[in-house]
Formats: sequence, C-alpha cells, structure tokens
Amino acid sequence: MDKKSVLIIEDDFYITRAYSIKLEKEGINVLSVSDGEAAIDFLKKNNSPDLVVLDLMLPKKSGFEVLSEIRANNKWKNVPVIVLSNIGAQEDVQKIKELGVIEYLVKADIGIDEVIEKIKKYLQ
Amino acid sequence: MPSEQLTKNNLKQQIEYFKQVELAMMNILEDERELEINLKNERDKTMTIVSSVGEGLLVIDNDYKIVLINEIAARFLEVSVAGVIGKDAKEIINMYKGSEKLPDEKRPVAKTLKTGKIVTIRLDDDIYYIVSSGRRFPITLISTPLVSKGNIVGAVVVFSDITEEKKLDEAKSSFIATASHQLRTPLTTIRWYSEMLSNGDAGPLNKDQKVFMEKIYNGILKLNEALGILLSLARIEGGGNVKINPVKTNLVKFTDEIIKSLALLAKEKKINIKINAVEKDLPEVLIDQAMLSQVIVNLLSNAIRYTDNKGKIEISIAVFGNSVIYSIKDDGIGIPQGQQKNIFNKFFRAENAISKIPDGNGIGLTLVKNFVEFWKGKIWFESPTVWIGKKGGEERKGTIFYLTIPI
Repeated sequence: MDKKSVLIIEDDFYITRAYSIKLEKEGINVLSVSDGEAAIDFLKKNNSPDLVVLDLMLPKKSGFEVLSEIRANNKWKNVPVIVLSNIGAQEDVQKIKELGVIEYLVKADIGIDEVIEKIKKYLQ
Repeated sequence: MPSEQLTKNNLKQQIEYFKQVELAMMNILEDERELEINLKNERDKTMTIVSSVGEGLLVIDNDYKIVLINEIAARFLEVSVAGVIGKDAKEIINMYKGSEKLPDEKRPVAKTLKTGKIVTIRLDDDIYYIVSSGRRFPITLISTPLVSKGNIVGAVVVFSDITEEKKLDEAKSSFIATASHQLRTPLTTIRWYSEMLSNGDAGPLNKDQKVFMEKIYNGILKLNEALGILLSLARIEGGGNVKINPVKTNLVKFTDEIIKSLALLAKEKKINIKINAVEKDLPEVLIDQAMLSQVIVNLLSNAIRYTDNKGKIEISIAVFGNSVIYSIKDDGIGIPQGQQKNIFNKFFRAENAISKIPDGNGIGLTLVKNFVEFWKGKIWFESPTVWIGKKGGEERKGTIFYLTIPI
C-alpha cells in the first residue's frame, strides 16, 4: 500500500517539526511548505496530497487566500483540508467553514497527540 | 359758607386719601421690586449651579421641548443657550445605537417621560449623539424624571461626551486581542513539545522528570484557559463585530452534556449535580451554543471548585414570561457581603475564593456577564442562599446564580 501523504502549510519551523516527528512515526509521508505562495506552487507541480494541514497567518499569501484558491481549482477542490491556527475569532471560523474544511482547530487549545489522531482518522 | 367749607374739607380728605394710596402703592412696588430682585438672585444662583455642573445638562418638558440647558451641553451640541430654548430636543440631537438610529420611543427621555423611571446609558451601551453639524460622539447619560404635584412634567438629562474613554477602551480591547494571539503561538510550541517530552518522543523520562513535566503541562493548560477567556472578552467588549451562530437548543440535554464533561471534576470531590426542569415541555431556545457552553461551564465549574467535598449543586430551568430563567445553586463558600458588588469585575476575586483556590484568574464571571448581556439576558446572584437542612429547617449558605435566556 502506498504511503499516505500530508501537506503541512505552516510558517513556524518548530510546529512543522512536531508534525513531522509524530506523523513519520505513524508511517505518514510529510511534505511541508512555509508560506502561502510556496503552497500554491507546490500544489501546481505535484500530485495532490491526501490531506492538507493549513495555518492561517502565513507570509506572502494568507491561509484564507490559499484555501480560496484550492477550492476554486478543479484539480484540488476535493482535497480535504484541516485548519490549525491560533486565530479563533468566530467570524474567521465562519469564513473558513464557508470555504469548506473538514475541521477548524485552535492550536493552543489542542494537544499534539489529539491532532495526530484526527489526521489519522481523516486519512483512513 | 357751609357748602364751601364742606368742599374744602372734602378736598383735604381726598388729598389725604390719595397720599395714602400713593404710599401704599410705593410700598407695594418696593415689595415687588424686592421680590423681583430676590427671584433674580435665586435664578442667578440656580443658573450658576447649573452651568458649573461639569457635564452637559438639559431639562426637557413633556412635549420634548428644551426648557433649560447649561453652557457645557450647548457646547457639546453646538448650539447657543438662548437659541435652543423651546426647541424640540429630538430635532437638535439624533441618537444612534452603534450604526442604527434609535427609534424615538427608545430614547432615554421618552422612556423617562413614559415610565417615570431613571434611565441610564453606560459606556458599553454604545450610544451616540449626532448634532446638526454631523459630529458624532459616544455618550454616557442619566435621565431623571421631573415630578411636580405627583405628575411627570419633564426630564432632567445629564450627559457626557466620552470620545476619549471610548478610544481608550477600544485600544485596550485591541491590545488584548493581539496580545492573546501573539501569546498563543509560543504557548502552542511549549504545549506540544512538553507533551512530546512526556510521551517519550525524545527518549524515556525518569520518575521525577515525568512529575516535573506534568507540572509544566498543567501550568500551560491553566495559562491557555485564562488566555482563551481574555480573548473572548476582548472580542465581546470590542462591540459590533461579534458574529454568532444561534441554533435551536434543548437546555436540559445541553446541560446534561456539560455535566458529563465536568463529571471527573465533580467526582473527585464527590459532588452531586442534579437538574430540576420545572416544566415538562420546556421550549427550545435560539442561542449560540459556543457562548452558552462557556457561560454554563464557567458557572458550573466555579460551583464545583468553591464547594466542599460531598457538596451539592442544583440546576433549575424554568420559563418566566418571555425568558427562560436558568439557575445554578451550590452550598459552597458563598460570596462575602462586602465584596458582592465587585464580583463581575475583571480580575477581581473574593477573599474567601483566593484562600480556597489561590491561582484562579478572576475573569470567568466577567466573561459570563458579558455573554449573557450580549444575548440580551440578565444575570444576578444571591449569597448566602436558602437550603432546606437535614432536619427540615432553613439553612443559609452557598450561592445561587440566575441568568435569563430570551425565548
């Protein structure tokens, strides 16, 4: 069976590293980019990942813009996305949910193990 | 000549009479002048008092006409004192709540004239005056009925321009929002890596290291909880821009779920929580569940925390008029009389609460009050409250919090 792959779009190096350590232990292939433009670039040049983990406060292009572009593109529009951000205002959550994500999580409110469990569940 | 004599006498008498009339009239005139001077003095005195009031003052009659205005009010409203007397106050001042015009019947003076009650507008009511030049400014206000012989004949309005206070308040809220977000980011790193360290992701830990890591992790959770509340508060206090998602909610089921989520905390202290739903067919309420959950969780976890082991908590839900009254009653430590007025203030903690739990954050109840008022409900409490003792007699202890939810 092919390894499942997750694209992490996150500008904080240590957050990305935490995802990698945990997910690789689970046998999941971790791909990562650290800004919004690089995310779109990566998607254009590669096969769609099985899941995208998206931060919202990103350099060059925000997570809101990245998500809008993903949803507007025929090739990517069905890729499942989880938002993990430290922005938790109701209006932002609403905006993101309207664009279509499987879950919106506030990073500081959730432990890493719980995040990994959720990612594994959505990859099944 | 007797007749001539008569006429002379008569004339003398008449002259005497007129002299007396003149004297009397002089006296009267003098009295009146004195009265007038006294009146003028009194009026001057009143006007001096009125104009030295540090806030805008208006007296408005039953027909909404301005009968008196002080210099400060005239300056705020950009009118002249003389030019505005007798004018309709509604034409001089437009009132807005946020960006919506306040209907005439909802203006404080209209309410005072109708009900005879004092009406107050506070900083967080978000009320603005707009004057004829188009200048818009936030106000606080108190409108008091003017009563003569048992009838309401007008209203006395004292108001302040609170532009500066409002700016400060907004800056404060924006600061809290930014600070909370900026703090959450490093907090996430600390949380995730301490969790990974505890779980042996960087190699096994010895017994002591495990215990220490547990302390660190619990500290992070507490800090994060306080931050979450601060952020919610900053948003709701920022006003205007709070988006909510009201859904139909069965309060008994909703409360049951919350009790389940707090079961561990309650079980540790052997505290029994029960729900009394007075009506069988309690109507569903339309409410933002995230907000409602924060309110109930805060009140209920307070009740658990500030109640001794084996204590009891009763939740009652009942319909009253157009609202549901929701109450949480505990037999805990209560709120000391002298500190009750501060209990909803940000960061305030009662003395007995501090000695029972030293590291509470003191913002939970502030958030609860803000949320309840956001959905146009009311919140109040009673402490100590009445419990029926084991032998049947009344016992006064613990606290009962009441809040309303519009149906």
